[in-house]
Amino acid sequence: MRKIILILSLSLSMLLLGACSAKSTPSTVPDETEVSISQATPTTVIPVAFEPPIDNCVVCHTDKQMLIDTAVEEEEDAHGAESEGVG
Amino acid sequence: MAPLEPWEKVMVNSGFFETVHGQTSCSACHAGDSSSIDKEIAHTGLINAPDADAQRTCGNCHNEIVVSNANSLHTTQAGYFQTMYSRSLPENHAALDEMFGNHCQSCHTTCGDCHIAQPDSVGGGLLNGHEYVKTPPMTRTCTACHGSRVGNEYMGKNEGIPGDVHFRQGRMNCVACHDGASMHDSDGNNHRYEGAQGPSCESCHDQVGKTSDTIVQHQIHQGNLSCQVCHSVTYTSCDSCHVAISETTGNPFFKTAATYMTFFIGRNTRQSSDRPYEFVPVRHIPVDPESYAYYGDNLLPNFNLLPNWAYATPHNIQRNTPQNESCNACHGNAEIFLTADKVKPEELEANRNVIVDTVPGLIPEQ
Repeated sequence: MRKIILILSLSLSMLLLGACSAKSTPSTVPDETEVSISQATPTTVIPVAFEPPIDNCVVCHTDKQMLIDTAVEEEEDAHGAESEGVG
Repeated sequence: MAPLEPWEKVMVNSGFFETVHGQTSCSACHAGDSSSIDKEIAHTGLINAPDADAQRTCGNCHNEIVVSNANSLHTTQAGYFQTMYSRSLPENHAALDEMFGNHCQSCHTTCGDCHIAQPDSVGGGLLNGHEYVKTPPMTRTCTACHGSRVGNEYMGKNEGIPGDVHFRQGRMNCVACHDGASMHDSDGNNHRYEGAQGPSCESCHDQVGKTSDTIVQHQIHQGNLSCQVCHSVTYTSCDSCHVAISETTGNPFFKTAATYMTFFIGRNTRQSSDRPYEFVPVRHIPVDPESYAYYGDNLLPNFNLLPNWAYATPHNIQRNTPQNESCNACHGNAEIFLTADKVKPEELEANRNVIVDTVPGLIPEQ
């Protein structure tokens, strides 16, 4: 019986030690390719000309003549011209 | 105010882009295609009034106001529905709702109808080049909708009738009494004469009726008469507004049978602890049993459940009025009380609770 207990204790100890050593081992190895790419990236930024997109809503709605030119005649009866009396 | 030219309605001030609201792109609120200079393409998917979904737009920053405003009478128009449905039956609600959508919905108020543009009922158009106006301009927003009765009374536009003293002498605009908080929140009330009076005359005239008040009539009548009974003058009444859709244009229109000036004191049918008065001024409102007949037969079968001589708060307050010249200018003066002989025979039943059967008697030795 003592032998069995001793064997079980040793087995359990080895199992625990094995688990600890597995956890401390890095699961991935750094990719050398990635490192070299990273090192190859230039540290200076080359300025590039940037033009913000034109907002044509603003272009038109701040131009009186353009608004006049593109206006659509309002329907004469749009507000109930047939109405009579005080509403 | 003269209607705006089409271009004026949509012209954006350069100053707008200096404001907080001008810091976002147009399409963030209005959608559309800002990359195109072609009007048709640019306006594809355009949201003309983004504030129709106030929570998505205005509510991003003004959430508290947007939430309370959703239940305000300006938004819900609950007062109209309360009175319209009270005169009807549930099976007629769909037809009444259709009528309301065609003829009355333009009075529904969004954030922008007061703070960005004129309301649709007067043709719309930006107030100040899309700049947001914190205090809505009185004549271009408030009285643009509340014009034919309140606006004309307040500004003295009814011939021979002076404007309200608060306007003539006080130079007060609407928001001087009806502040933003009261415009944005109706406290869950379904009618403007429900709940506490806000504003009330006593909010400013806080000595009225108190022991320090030197005007004895205030102490005698306080609680029994609304302030307007003694301090308003002749105001507008209207008869029979009928609505229909034009056969030629397909557009909605209305016809009111008559508009005339009245001053009548009637009984208060909205008596409550907030409005304990026995007598109030009453105005004939333009509804009759056939007002909505275009949308169906007998849509107001319970017409007689509500009066069409309605509790009124005329906005033409004067210190001195014909009825407060002396005690007997009012007491014993049947001319200024809504007695049965002044009501159309077919409307007697609807107005039975408003009609004054016994005019207060003369005061002796006057």
